[in-house]
Amino acid sequence: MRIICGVLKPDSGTVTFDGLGISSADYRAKLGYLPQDFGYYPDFTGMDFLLYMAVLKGLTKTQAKNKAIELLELVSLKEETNKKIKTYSGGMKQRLGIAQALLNDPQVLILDEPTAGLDPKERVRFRNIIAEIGKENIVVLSTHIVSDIEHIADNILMMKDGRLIYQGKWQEHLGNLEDFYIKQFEED
Amino acid sequence: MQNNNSILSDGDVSISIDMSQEDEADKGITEYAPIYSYVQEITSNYDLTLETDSNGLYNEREKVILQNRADQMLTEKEMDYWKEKGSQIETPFTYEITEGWKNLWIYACTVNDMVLLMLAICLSSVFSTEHLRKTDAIILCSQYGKKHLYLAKILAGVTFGTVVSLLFLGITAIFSVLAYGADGFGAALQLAFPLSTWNITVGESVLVLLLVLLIISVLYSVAIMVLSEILKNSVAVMAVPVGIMVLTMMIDIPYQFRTASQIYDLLPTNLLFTSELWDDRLFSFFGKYLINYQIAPAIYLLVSVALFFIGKKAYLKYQIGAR
Repeated sequence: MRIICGVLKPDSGTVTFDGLGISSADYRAKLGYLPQDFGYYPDFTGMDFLLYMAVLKGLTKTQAKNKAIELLELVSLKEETNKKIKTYSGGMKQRLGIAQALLNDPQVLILDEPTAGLDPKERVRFRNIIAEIGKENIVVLSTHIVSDIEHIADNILMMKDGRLIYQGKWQEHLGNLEDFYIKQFEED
Repeated sequence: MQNNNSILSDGDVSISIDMSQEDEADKGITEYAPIYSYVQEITSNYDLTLETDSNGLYNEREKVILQNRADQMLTEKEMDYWKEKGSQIETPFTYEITEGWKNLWIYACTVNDMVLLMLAICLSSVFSTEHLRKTDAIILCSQYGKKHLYLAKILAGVTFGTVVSLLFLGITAIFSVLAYGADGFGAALQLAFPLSTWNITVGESVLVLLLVLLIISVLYSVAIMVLSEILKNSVAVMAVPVGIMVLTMMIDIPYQFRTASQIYDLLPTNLLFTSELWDDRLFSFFGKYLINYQIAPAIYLLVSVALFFIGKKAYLKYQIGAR
């Protein structure tokens, strides 16, 4: 995922998107990324953080303000807009991370464990938001919560020890995805 | 001074002093104290200070300057250069109080150290904090998170650095001028620093000081921020300039080791010592001789540009591995 985001160089091969190299600013303009270990500035408020990230993503001041308000509402952080991030709970920080990834309406959205730390209700809500975004855009999502992808993923890539052990649409005749997953990793 | 003593009836002694004469004496001391201090800056010989006349003073100045140049191991050509510059200085000097501006040079070294410390504290985390807070991943994959952000941060840091140096020197100037007055801005530099052979006024030398300090602050800012990116640890970043500052306070390379000493004195932490005003060692650049205050700022700017590109390379090459 870090390679797709252009923050880690591959040992070999190249990654392109519509002919754009991943190291180009044009590609980064179409990219949204939520890392597993999401970093933030503890003394920034949620709004400040989104505005700062919006500037880095090329939004104008007005666009940034409007988009930040819209996203804070989407991730249910409207009430906490002007509170410092250090006062947020783990789940709230995660939601803020999702919001920053969506700032530039990305065509490629990379989400590394986006629902970690969210309560079941929030998880279902985000699953639906991601599914909605995935209709028009490419969403690459990694998770250990199998039920999340079972409902929304068109293509599933299952990796074990850095190698793909399953690729493609989930075949119903293989049974339940979660059972398949557990079986693959139980063998160890 | 005249004392009038008289014995009173109960045996007490009354002493009355002719105050007008004492005032006269005080006035004499006050009037001649600045001249006395000035002569003492040329020679520390007490007898000569009291007995010298104008010719003796100018001869003594010349003698001390020549001895100074001999100590600094100047070449024949350098001697000729300064001889020509010296001939352009108008004598006799007309005394003016220059303390208000002279103090800026005297405190320049302290201001320089304070600027370095302030910048080390404030700029050491400009890049390292992104790695510490793990915000580097989302920043580096944003549209302007690479080239634009690097340039923006460096420019912001340099702006901060120049503002800090302006502020520190400005505060020093305000207090000095309030305490000693603004006289002597147009006086010859030799009235503030008699051993200098620069043919400029005190005011012009203060402008040189300001310009050099601003360029030094640019170098400090860029160097600290580049270290912040390379070391990725603000404490380690702070240790480097503070270490250099402490070392340069303790180490002095004598004039005998001409090249090493001359290069060492060009370090930004050393350049603003007042003694550099009468450091007559020159740098030959394509047949043209440059003094330390001409070559050092040019070197600082070149080093700043080189550091900018080194930092940029490190910033763009940074890879985010597993955490």
